[in-house]
Amino acid sequence: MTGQHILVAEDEGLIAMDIAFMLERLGFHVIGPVAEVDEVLQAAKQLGQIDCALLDVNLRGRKVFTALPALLDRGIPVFLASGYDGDSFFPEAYRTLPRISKPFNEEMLRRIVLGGRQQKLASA
Amino acid sequence: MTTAAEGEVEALRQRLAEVEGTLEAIRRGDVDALVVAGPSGPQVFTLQGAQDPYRMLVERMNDGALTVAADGTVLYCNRRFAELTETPLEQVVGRSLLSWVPAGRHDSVEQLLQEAVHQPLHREMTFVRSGRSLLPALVWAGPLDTGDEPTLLVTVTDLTARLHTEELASAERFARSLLEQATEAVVVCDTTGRITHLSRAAERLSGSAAAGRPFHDVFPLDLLPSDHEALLEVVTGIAPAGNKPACLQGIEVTIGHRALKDRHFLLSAGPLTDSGGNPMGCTVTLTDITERKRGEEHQAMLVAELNHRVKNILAIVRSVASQTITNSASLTAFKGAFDGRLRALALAHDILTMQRWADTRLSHLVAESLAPYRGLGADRVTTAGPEVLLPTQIVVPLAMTLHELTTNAVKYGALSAKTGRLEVNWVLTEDAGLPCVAITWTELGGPPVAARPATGFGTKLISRLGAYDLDGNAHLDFKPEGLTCTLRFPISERRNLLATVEAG
Repeated sequence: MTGQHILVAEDEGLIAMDIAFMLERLGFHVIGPVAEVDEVLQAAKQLGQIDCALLDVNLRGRKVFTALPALLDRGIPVFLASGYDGDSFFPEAYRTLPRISKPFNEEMLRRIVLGGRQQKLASA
Repeated sequence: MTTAAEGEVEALRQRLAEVEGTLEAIRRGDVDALVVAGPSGPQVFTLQGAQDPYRMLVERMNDGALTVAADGTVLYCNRRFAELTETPLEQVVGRSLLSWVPAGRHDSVEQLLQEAVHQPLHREMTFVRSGRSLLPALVWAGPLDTGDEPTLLVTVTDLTARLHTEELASAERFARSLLEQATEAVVVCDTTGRITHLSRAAERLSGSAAAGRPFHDVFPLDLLPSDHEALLEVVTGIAPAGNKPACLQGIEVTIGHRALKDRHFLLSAGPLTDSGGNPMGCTVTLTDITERKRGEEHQAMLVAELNHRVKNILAIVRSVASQTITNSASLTAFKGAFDGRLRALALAHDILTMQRWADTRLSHLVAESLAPYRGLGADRVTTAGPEVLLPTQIVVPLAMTLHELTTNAVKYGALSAKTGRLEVNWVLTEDAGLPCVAITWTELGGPPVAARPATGFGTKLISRLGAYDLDGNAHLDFKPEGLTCTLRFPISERRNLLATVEAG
């Protein structure tokens, strides 16, 4: 995971700090964290190297789902972070995406990003 | 007197006795016919024949007829009265009329009989049959002139059928008014599925003249195929394999009218049968549950939102704990720093809860954050600024920022020395045309400030939150005479227009 570029979206500054800190310890290069859906879209369209993305579902009152196709179409694995439980909150098309429930620790984070990366390798 | 005269008198006496005997016999009813000699020969008068048509009439009539003594004792009754009272004919005569009347009504019947001796009258009353069932009746009573004891002629007309008809009519009126007044949409269909009656609410839903039209045309329901079939069975009264159609209850439907596309209904339907169990049609009830459903959805949303917030707060606490421990030299240091930060978080949530998660006044947040140090003296801690309403999402990060600044001031800054002062001022200004607020935190008269490492959690947190959560910037200046911090962040125009109105 060393040197991997991960896009992080989280609108709570304190949580964003924590996530960035954990990801850096896991060897990631953190892009962001960004706090708004439009910033996710902008990053997905403009940034050259994004290896994966860890996105909070609710960014300043807006759902992140509209920004997902821009990343998924580029083949970028997406991990969703959320305080919401249950499938009904998630659009059907995105229910199979790996999800991590808040609050999470470094080990949980490591497992989900590692699992996601392996999935990508297996399907490639 | 001569013998001839005596003989004539004797003959006349005998004839008189004969006539009296005949009259007595006629009166007793022993005589069937009289033969009277007349100029054109003997004529036969049949007394029995003369009564027969009346007797037959009385026996055949559909009303009970009786003669009673003034005290109510039955002297005669026809068959019909015996039938009506379910009493064997032979047990009626000699019994009192009162014996078929409830005890509580005896007085009024006695009064009726007394009055009827003088003039005919009629009254509605209820008899109790021998089988204890009630017989509503119209009673007519009038004097019968027999010359002897006062006797009454009484007729009893059964009102059961008439009352039944009245009851039916009243039930029909009742059902109709129920239907019309029902707040729910109630539709009655005949066995062909055509609408015969609608409640007003149903008329409003139908949006057009509905009576006489097929139910499915007027109310095109969005149903599952299985429910659709079941409804069709109820409406037509035809179920497969001779089963009775089952009732449908509480099925959620929508109606395919453009005006009703956002409304949800609960459908119930059941067959209507006559007293013989034959299908007559069905009733369908549509209850508008849109508001209830919206309420439930809103509640579910609130619960999900609450869960989301709780999880977020836990994640914030996790972050604060994790960052604090990284920057703490000892467990004791961690405890003190973490406790303070946790209290700052709690304070922010107290304020939000008090405001019901609506906008919060900046002056209130600043005052609450500095409250523990107000005891230092009014001249040492001063705050000033216009009324500003803060959006809810700014409250937690700003509270945390103020906490970090305060802790630093108390530990190392102006509030750590006896003479130091702290000023917190803010102004409303503009950044690129957007209204924004600029807070200046100025410490004066404290111990000389040494250049501080920019890597501490507090420092990092302040600049991070300023840029990230407040969408602005935080600038820390460790001047030797005291720390200065400026925070600039935009606030929406609408909120502060409101604040101006309220402040004004």
